[in-house]
Amino acid sequence: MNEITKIEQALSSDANAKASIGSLLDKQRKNYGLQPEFYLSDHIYRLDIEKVLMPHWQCVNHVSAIPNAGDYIVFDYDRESVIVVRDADNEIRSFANVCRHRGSRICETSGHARGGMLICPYHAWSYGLDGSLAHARMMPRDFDKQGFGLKPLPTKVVQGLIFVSLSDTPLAFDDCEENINATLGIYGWANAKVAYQSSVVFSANWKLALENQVECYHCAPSHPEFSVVHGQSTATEKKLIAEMNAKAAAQGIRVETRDHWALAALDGQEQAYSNRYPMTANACTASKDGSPLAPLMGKFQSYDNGMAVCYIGPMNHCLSYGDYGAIFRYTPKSLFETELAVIWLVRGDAVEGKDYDRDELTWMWRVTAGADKKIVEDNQRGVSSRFYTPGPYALPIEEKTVRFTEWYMSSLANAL
Amino acid sequence: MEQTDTVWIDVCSVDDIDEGGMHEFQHEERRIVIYRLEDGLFATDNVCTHEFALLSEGWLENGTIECPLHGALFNVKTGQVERGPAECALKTYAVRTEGERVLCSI
Ligand code: FES
Ligand code: FES
Ligand SMILES: [Fe+2]
Repeated sequence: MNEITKIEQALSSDANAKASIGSLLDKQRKNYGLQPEFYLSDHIYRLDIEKVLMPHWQCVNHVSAIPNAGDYIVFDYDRESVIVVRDADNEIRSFANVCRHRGSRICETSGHARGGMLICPYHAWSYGLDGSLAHARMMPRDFDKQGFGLKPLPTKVVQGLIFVSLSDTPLAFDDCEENINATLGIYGWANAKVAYQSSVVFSANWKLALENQVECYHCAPSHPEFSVVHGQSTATEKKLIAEMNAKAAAQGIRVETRDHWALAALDGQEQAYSNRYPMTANACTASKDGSPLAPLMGKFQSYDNGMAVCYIGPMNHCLSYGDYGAIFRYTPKSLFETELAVIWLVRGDAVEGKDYDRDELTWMWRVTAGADKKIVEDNQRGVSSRFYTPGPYALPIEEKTVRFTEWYMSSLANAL
Repeated sequence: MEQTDTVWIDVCSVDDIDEGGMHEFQHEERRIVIYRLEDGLFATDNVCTHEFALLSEGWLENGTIECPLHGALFNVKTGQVERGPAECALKTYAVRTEGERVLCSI
């Protein structure tokens, strides 16, 4: 019997689960990679979803993706599915994508609710954009439709970004809201529009995808394109930071940063993190050669040769350059499947083909996300081997990966 | 309001339609339904403008007909949509009586 079979058996009873995971957590060496079970066990994956991730918020998209009343997005998350719709009063609402009759999925993919109605394909129960049950075919006239509206989910819109939570008791969002306003707000995200979106599924556990996302140790070997224009941790970086800040200050721009990420999250609040990084000397934005791609956004009148990052919770990472933004959203689909959605934003009035070229705009992060898929999948294959033993993280460059795994283990331990 | 080339079809007898009731008929390719309200007789297309459903199988109340399939509401006098998912109004037809007979203009 191999280790995974053993742990799966041990975890199948609640009483043993605590002890087994407890002993795995005890085995964990500080600043070392996770034990293989964390990447391979179905039981741990269920705990990850239900206990570790559920209280957090997911960024669904930007409001410009659903510009008209009745436009909706279907957002799938593990076994769950959410309908995010713009209602007749332009309010963004979210509902569980589960029919109140016999539970069918109602909407398969994003679309438009023709005539302002969401219709279940199974027996045609019809719901209004406010989630109320408007019509239940052939049910008795005195059937009380009021008790059978779609289940509403907590929803926030900040700087045009739509967030939903699948939890009944989500984390407070105030710190994130402040953080988003103080960073992405400066870059004018509220008035941005979606230029393009893509989705790639990594055949890997969600934690491997995130461990990779938060370190740039791999950038030089895996992302040569990225490394041409993004600053690396080198001696010249201090000088570049000073220049970036001076160029922003000269325009009256100050982007505040904060670090309430991972275990540094404020009590009861969603994780909020922001930082600023310089591009390499003279690079304006993340393009092939650093030259501009689209009209400047927000308060920027000229390039400061820098960028901002803003993390919202563990799974949503936003980047903003002077002329475009990118949302990176990781979504667990199953134990070995994690979706990375990338959504590119440009200034709201920018016209494709005139003010920006879509292929050029998206080139950097299409190439980089594609490379990340490959390295993360290779990582999963490796940790699935019986020869895998956790190795040491490279510090300080993998410091955020350490923080991520420490947050993860502490959340799991608290959930037991 | 009728055109000179209006054709009046003899549909049924007044007694065939209960107060608050409906009567459907077909004329060539066209399916039409006549509604009997307190203040008179009205007619619209019988097929919902949303998908395929017969309004004569729906629910008539307060001058509106509710489609049996997805519950669109139409004003039977004007044909206007009062609630989706239908987006297009129903075509309406003039109705009058001649003695005991109900006539509908096509
Ligand atoms: S399950 Fe949706 S109408 Fe029956
Ligand atoms: S067919 Fe009548 S409302 Fe859909
Ligand atoms: Fe990467």
